[in-house]
Amino acid sequence: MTAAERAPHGTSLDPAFVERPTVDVRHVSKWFGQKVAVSNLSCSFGPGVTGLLGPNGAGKTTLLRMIAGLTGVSTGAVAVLGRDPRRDASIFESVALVPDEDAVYPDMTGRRFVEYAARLSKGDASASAVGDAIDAVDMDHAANRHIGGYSKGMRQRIKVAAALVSQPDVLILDEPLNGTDPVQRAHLIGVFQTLGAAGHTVIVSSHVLEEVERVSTRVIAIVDGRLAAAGSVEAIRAAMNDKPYVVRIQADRARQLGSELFGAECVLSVEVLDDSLIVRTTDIVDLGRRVPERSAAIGAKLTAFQPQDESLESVFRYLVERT
Amino acid sequence: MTPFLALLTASIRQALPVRRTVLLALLALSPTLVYVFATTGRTEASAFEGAVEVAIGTFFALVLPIVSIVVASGVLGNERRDLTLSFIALRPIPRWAIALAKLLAAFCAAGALVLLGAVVYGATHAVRFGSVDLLIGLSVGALAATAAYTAVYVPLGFLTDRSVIVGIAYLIIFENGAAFLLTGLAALSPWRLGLSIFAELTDGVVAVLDGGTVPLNAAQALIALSAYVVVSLVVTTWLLQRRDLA
Repeated sequence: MTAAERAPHGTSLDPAFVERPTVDVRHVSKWFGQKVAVSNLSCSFGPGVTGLLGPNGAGKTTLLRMIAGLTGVSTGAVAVLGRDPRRDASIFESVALVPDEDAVYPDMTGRRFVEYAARLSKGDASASAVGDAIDAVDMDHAANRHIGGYSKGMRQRIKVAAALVSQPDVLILDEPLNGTDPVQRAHLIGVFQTLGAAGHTVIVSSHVLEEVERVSTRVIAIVDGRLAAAGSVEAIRAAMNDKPYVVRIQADRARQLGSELFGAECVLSVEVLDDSLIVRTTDIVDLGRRVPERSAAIGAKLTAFQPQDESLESVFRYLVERT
Repeated sequence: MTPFLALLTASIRQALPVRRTVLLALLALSPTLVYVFATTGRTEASAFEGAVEVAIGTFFALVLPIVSIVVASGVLGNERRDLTLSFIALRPIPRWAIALAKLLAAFCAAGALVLLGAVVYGATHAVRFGSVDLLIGLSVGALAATAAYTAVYVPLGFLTDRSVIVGIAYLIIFENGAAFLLTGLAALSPWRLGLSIFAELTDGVVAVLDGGTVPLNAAQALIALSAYVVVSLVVTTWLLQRRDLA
C-alpha cells in the first residue's frame, strides 16, 4: 500500500498531499513499452518550494514531464491549477518548466532567448522585463553572447531566466542545479526560495539529498517510479536514519571487539570474519562513536570502518520497502 | 507581436540557416542554367518548347521536390530532435496554432527558394525572347507544388529522422517511376499538381506535354492542394497533441 492510499486524498494526515494543491497527481502510472517509469503515484504540490528527490532513473523527469503535459499519462490523472496540462495550453501562461536537457537555441543570444520565451508566453517582452529575468539569475554579463558558447551552468541559468520572465505561478525545475558551481548554486537556491516565500509553487527535482535539503522544506521522494517518502526534510532524514546499515570493521582483535559491541543497543548483529567484523546497526552515528571507544578499551588496533551499503539508492530502496 | 507571429518568424529563420540556404538557392537556380544550355541557338518557338521541357523535367520533377523536402522535414523534425520543441510546447499556444505556424514557416522558407528559381527561370526566358508567358504560370505552379510537398513533409519530419531519405526514395520510386507508368497515380503527385496549374496559366504548355494532357485541371488541383493542407494540419496537430514531446 502506498502512502497515498493510506489516507484520504487531500487530508493533512498524509504528508504526500497538501491542503491547497496547485498541482495534483492522482494514481498516475506511465510506461514506455515494457518499462514502467512511474507506478501508481499520488501526491500534490502547493505554494512554497517542494523538493522532488530520487536517484537517477527514479522517474522524476517523467513525473515532471507529465505534470507539464509534455508526456501523457498511461493511467491516472494530473491537474495543474485545476486543469489538464495535455488539453489546455492556456495554463502555460501560469506554468513554466525548466527541463534538465538543453532545450535551447545555440544560435540565439541569451537575451534573445529570454525575449523569445516572453513573446511566446504572452508575457512582458520589454527590455526591462527581459533584463530583470536575466539579472535574477546573474547572467547579465553574458546575455549578449550566443547560447552555443555557454557552459552547462550558464545554460541552466538562462533556461531559468526564460522561465522566470513569464512570472509563472507554478515553476517546475528538473535538476536545475546540475552543472552549476557553488556560487551559482547558492544564487539559484536563493531565487527559488524567494519565489516560494512569495507564494509561488516551486518544484525542484534532484538526486542529491543535500541539494533538496538546502532548497526546500518539503520533500517528495520517489524511487523506481513509486512514492518512497514524503514530508518535511527532517522527517525524511529521520526515516533514512532508521535504515539498518551494514558496516565492515577491520581490527587486529576482531573477535574480542565483536563481543564488546554485541551488547550495544544500536547493534542488531555481529558476524566475525577472520580479522574483520560485519556489523548491522540501526544507528551508524552511535556505532561510529562506540567502535573507537571499545577498540581503545581492549587495546585493539582499528584499521577500517567501512559502511557497506551507504548509497542514496539503497536508502531510497529501503524507504520504498517500508511503505 | 503575438505568440503566433513570434513563432512563425523564428521558425522561418531557423528553416533557413545560411549555408543550407545558399546551397538550396544554387540548386533552385540550376534549371535556368540547364535551360540556357539546352536552348541556345534555337528559334523562339523551339526555345519555348525546350523551356517547358526543362521546367518539367528538372524544375518540377527534381529541384522543387528536393528543396521542399529538405526544408519542410527539418521544421518540426529538427526541433523534436534537439528538444527545442518542448520549449515551444510549454507556451500558451494551442497545438493547432503550433502546427499551422510550422506549416506556414516551411511553406514560406521553401517557397522563397523555389520562387527564386521560378522567377529567374521565367525572367531569363523573358529577357531572351521578350515573352513573360512562363514567368507567372511557373511561379504560381511552383508555389502550389511547394505547398503540397511541405504539407506532407512537415509531419513526416516529425515522425521519422530519415524523412529526407524517405522523400528522395519516394521521389525516385513513386513520382518519377510509378506515376509515369501508371497515369492514374499522377493525380496524387504533388509536383504534377503544380504542373497542372502551370499548364492552365501558360498557353502552349499542354501541347508540349507528352500525350497532351495534364493530370488535373486548375480547379481540381486547387481542391487537391486544399486537401493536402487541411489533412496535414489535422495530422500535425494530432501528432503534437498525442505524441510525447521528449
